[in-house]
Amino acid sequence: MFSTHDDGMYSLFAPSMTLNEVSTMFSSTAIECVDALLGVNSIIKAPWVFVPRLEAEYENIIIMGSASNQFQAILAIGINDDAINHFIGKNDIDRSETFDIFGEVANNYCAMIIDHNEFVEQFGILNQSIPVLYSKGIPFLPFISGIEGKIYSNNQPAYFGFAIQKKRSATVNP
Amino acid sequence: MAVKTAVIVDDSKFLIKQIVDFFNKQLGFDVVATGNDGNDAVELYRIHRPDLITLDITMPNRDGMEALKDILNEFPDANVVMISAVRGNAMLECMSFGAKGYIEKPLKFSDSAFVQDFKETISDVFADK
Repeated sequence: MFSTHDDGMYSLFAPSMTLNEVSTMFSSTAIECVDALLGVNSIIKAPWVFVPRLEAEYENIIIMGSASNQFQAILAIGINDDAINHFIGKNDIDRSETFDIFGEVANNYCAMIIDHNEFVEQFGILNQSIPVLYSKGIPFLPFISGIEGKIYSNNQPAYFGFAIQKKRSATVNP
Repeated sequence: MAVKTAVIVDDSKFLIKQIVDFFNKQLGFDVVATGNDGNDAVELYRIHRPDLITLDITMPNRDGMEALKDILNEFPDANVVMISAVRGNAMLECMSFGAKGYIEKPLKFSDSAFVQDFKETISDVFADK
């Protein structure tokens, strides 16, 4: 069952798109992205849901911001150390390599979301920032509504959370 | 015929390895150097004068678009191919600055259609030479 938030991220999508369609767009893109980059077949076990704020507490969290003139978005990918080898296929991986690989997953995921007409018609093209890594249990709690869910490889999860909102107007000194 | 040389620049070492393998094994290039940001790109181009350099766009320190302009400003005949996940006008901008090709990430090296497109993009760079 999906949660809904009338003033949340879902309300930004075209009314013609159902919750299920939006959810599937985000989750299937994660599966496609991990397959394309890592050659890993992953699955989802539960539909991705809209939440009032993203909450993820993983040992490794990669965050990537993106923005246009009108919108700003943030993507979080979370993965625990024990799950990494199930996505990358090797055990002896250090934190910088984790960051490198999942940073690239984040980069490509954002691009692949923009490739969906349903997304780009609503939000336009978002330009991505350089990804950053938070590690060891630092929770990620932005106060904006988003969609989140997990993909699994060999029963080990990787978390994806994506939030987008209209930019708030700012006063700029001349 | 001499083997063509290439420099590969991307802020992801993971992707660099994939791209280098592809250039060496599938395209028959000799990848003479790799770099991780736009500063590396300009410096490596000056040192190696490769037949081709690939640039990511979103990179720390100096991004690929700036490196593209700097390289072409100094070496107007440089063959620069962008390999990036940036969408929208970036492709047109890079081509207008003088890039010879633009390959969109993700790099689906297991997808034969993608591989063929990649090969054709690189081949087209040298088609008129």
